[in-house]
Amino acid sequence: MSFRENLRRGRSHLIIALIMIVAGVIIVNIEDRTLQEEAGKPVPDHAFSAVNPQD
Amino acid sequence: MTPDFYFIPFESRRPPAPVPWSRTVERIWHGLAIANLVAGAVYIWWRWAYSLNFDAIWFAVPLVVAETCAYFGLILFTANLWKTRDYPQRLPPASIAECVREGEAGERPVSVDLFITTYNEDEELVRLSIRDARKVSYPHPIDFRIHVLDDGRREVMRQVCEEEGVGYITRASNIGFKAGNLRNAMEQTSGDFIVICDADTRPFPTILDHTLGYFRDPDVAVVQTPQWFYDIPEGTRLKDVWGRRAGAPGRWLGAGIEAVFGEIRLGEDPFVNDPAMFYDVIQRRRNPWNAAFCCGAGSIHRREAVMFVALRAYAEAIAKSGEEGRGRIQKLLGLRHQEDDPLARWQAAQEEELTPYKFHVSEDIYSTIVLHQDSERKWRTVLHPEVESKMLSPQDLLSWTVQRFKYAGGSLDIFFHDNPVTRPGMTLAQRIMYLTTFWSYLGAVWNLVFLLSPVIYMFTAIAPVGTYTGDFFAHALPFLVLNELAFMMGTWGVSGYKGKVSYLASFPISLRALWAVIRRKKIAFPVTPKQRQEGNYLGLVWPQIAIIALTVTSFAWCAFRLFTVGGGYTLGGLIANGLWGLNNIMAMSIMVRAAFWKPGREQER
Repeated sequence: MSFRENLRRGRSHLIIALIMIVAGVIIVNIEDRTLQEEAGKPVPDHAFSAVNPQD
Repeated sequence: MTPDFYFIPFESRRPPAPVPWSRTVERIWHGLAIANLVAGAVYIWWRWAYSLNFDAIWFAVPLVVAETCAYFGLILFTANLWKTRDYPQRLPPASIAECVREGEAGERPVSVDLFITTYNEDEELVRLSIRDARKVSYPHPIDFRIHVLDDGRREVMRQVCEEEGVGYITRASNIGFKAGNLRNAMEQTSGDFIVICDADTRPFPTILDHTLGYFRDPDVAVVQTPQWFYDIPEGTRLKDVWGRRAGAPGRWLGAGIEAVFGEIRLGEDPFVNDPAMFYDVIQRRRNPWNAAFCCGAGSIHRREAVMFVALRAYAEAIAKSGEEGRGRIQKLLGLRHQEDDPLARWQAAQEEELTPYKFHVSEDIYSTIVLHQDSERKWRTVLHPEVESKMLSPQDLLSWTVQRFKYAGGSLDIFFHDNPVTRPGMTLAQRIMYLTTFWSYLGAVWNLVFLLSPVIYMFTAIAPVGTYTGDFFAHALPFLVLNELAFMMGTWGVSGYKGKVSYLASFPISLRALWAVIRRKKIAFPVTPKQRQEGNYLGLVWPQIAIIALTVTSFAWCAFRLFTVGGGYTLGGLIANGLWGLNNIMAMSIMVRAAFWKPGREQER
């Protein structure tokens, strides 16, 4: 079986991985911008600690 | 004359070759698998330690528990897929003396009984199986006998057997169903080896030539060959479907998409019956751990092993029943405790039956478990990688559901009531392999949580994690991406998408089976129909339809609230949960489409 055929059979994994990476980058940017607007200052490196008082 | 069966046009189809083993691919898989497990462990630790939304503990905790259970299943599945090491294939034996320990048998040709079990299948369908069985060849003299085991007690079936010159075996009752049918036949035959075939199993001429060599190892008890459904619909190319619907533009668009993503077929394998992932990957990779299990049709058994284990189980049952009986007798007669009460043992022996195959809905895996538990004899089971027979797939959703319910119910029944993972006898690796099987059926519980989680967020604006910011994705993304890449390499050469989504979509079947087993309700033995059943199957997929409807409605509600009043939603939350919900909808839609599926032109004739 050729590499191309094997890749075709495994393409769903690549497509899903790609969608997750793109979606992750978009969501993080949107959420960071929203937090920045709400807080009125830049979001720290670990944005979670900015919104979760337990940290 | 052969009736006009739907599968006649597919008679010339040939099975795929086993996936070739590659050291390079295996090494890449190992590297990615370890990285995936480490990333998963980091993610799960972070989820428990830092990410829980304590304002919605009722939602956050079930989800994190579900994720942890799924991660444990991932560890098990990784162990299952770790390596491919086929059992060495050897030349077919000329004499039975070559298949047993020294001095246990004299020089004589090997004798084999091929059993075709039937109950109510079309007699002409069975005739096709008989005719293919008669074509089985062997390079040495052999005592080869074919027997039709008819639990339907049909005169027509007897006549077919006479016409074809094969044995006909029946019995007065149907006790034990298939296992009882096999036991009855074993009592009336004497071959060294037994080939198990269902009514629709069509053995290839090479089945004995390619498999009896394994039995040169006197410890090999069972050889299972991959089941191959030669009637699976192949579907139609995307460019052809779109070309028919939209003319040249549709064809060009379809061709363009296929040029990027590779060949796409619509309507291919609507019930996700292709067993390649199960046999070529999951079962085959249990060979190194001596943990491949028998799946019934297409398997070859050493009679001595089957009887040996049956006797052991019989003795254990008598001992157990003897103790209970002794207790009852002592209570009744007011006797004091006596060791080895002959009366109790005699009574127990009368009540117990010698059953070579466990009388159970999953008699195949159950009998293999008993073999693997025999720590003294150390029986071996082998998954032979090449297809050696062809058979028919369930052709409608009802048949498919019946089959899957039997698998799930049978496996869960063993797990809850006679769990080999905790009972003595097996090696650690064998226990892990069996736990992998059982755990996969329990997965329906956490899959339900995964299906409902995006719906809950989109209806309530309550997130199970603190926030969807960089910290969340920094922990989740590496794990999720590595997981995809690892299993692409771990299952290199086999298409796994449909199997993955059908596992998610079949959650109602496993949940029903789990509920039945917990209530100790007996899992029924209905015979899986071999012909397409006509009917409306929407009733079978209402849970999947409900999940789709809930997800779509909740998404619309979430989007409406977000863009009007805000409602505590975030755009990131909508996108993340919307994509999650989309994944769930795509998985559910496979089952819903299957409910509407009817044979196309290629199958109608």
